[in-house]
Amino acid sequence: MKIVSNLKNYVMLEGVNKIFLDGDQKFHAVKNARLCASPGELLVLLGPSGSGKTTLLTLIAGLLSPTSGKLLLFGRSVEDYSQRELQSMRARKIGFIFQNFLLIDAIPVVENIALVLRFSGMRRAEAITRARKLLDQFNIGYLARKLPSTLSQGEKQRVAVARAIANNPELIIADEPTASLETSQGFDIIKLLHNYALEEKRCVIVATHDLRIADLADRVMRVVDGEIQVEGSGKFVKRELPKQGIA
Amino acid sequence: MFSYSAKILTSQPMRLAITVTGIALCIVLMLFLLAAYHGVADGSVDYIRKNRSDLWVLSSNAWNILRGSSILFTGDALDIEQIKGVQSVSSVLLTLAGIRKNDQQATVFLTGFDPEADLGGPPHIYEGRSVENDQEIVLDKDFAKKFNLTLGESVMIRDVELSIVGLSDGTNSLVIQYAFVTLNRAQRLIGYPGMATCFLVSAEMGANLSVISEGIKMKLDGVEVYDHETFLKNNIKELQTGFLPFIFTVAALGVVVLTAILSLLLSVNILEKRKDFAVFKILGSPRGFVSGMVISQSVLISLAGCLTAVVLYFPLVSFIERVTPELNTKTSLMQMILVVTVVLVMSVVSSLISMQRLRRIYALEAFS
Repeated sequence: MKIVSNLKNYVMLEGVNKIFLDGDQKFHAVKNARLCASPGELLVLLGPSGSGKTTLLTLIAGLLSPTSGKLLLFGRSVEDYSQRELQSMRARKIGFIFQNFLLIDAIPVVENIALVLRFSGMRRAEAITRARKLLDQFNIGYLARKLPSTLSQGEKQRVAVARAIANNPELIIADEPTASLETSQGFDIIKLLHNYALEEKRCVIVATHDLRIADLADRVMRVVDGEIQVEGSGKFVKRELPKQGIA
Repeated sequence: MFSYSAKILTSQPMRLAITVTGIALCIVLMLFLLAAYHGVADGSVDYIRKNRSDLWVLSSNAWNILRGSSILFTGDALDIEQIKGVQSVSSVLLTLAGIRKNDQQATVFLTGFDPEADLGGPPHIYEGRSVENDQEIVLDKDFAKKFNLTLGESVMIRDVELSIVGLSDGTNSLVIQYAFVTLNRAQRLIGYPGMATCFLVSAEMGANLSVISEGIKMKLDGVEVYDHETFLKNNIKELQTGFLPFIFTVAALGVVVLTAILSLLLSVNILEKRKDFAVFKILGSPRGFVSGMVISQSVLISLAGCLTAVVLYFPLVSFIERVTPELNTKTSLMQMILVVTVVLVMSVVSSLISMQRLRRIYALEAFS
């Protein structure tokens, strides 16, 4: 499949490699990656721990530069962004969800969400009002004044999702968002993200080792040893895995 | 930013309380040292400051009375009185003397002056009156308090019994306090009648002090004449060279301890909240936000320390002064502003030191 640079693609990787150096040792974390992610889709990067999924996510977030290859973010080469532009882009265009939620424990839930709105330039009062509305939409308005440390795992992840979409970002990057959750809670979170992608015409990229999530994805890329080996619908990838001897 | 910083700090109330208390004690130490210095400075030179003489005459090798050694002869005062423009001359004898009361013994800076001349006596009578005859003495009020001496009681100097008729104020220079007797009594106590330490010269209205000064130096060999302001400055300078370095050293140690406490707390905070800082960075916190948080935390802690220090300071000083009456402190608003300014500057310095750690926290760490 030839990937063509397209402004509709929020993310485009063409022949991207990432090599880490540790003294004389080289570690090839991402090999010749080709990927595009467009609005309205939930893309899953599926692979075991250490397969290079997270490195791919950090490349996509503009946190790492590729060793070689072409990486376009929102139609522009990542090398053309200054550090300040990358910071501004992350504040305005990208939402993040982390494996351990990474909510700020010292501040209440509502301020955790308001924080990203403040980072994108919104005034404090407006940010708090919008954060409250968002919590109500997620049916967790009652958590607003609670500290994250007092929440259940499921509640924390819902707050993390609310924080990620607070700015209505064009791209959401989620790293193992279901790893700390029970199966049903995990499915709920993925459905929530999928709905967001469809309804808001946004792009969601999820890195996970959980095969069950593949069923809910629009597209799945199987990542093994830094290479994207199989790409297709969730069902297709699941069918292909045994043929390739990958369980 | 301040609200986030405040919430992060208050999320660990015990640690915050210990840190604020530590900083408050450093501030109390600095305030106390400044107040003690001013108390001592005033107590040491008030005698000179409040003296109404125009010129001070001393032996040429002595340029102050705090640590200077001057020997003059009262007979020379008569020569000075002959100089045109001189209204009066009063001899003063300053010497160290041991005072006894029952089994208690202490040293005072015994000042012999002429009660008739009304120059060279206590700068301010706090209670009672000044001396009128050779059997009387005026003691410093803090000295009297320390040794439980009251008006009407008697003390012994050598084998002479002197009745306490007054208590003076502004005569406490921490290590020693002034006591006042007649010039005649002081001379007889040291066994050298006719001896003086300095002459206090009052000039006639409109007289030229420089001309009088030159006249005195021409008439008397081996003397130096100082106008009031110069002599006051000389004594303050002497005080500063003897006492200030000690004060500054201890105060500087207080500042170093304060900076170390703050830097340590902030560094530990940064390390503990490493993930939070990585999250701030990855979520696109604006330039300066993360470092601003560290600075604002430091400033907030320092301000809390300042407030706590003010609450602690006055009861603490009052207690210390009760226990140690000879310790005379003088606290002013300017001193407080100075200390708060130093503390705020040091809090910024502490946060800059701690920020070295912040630079080594990367947004990527949020993914680890």
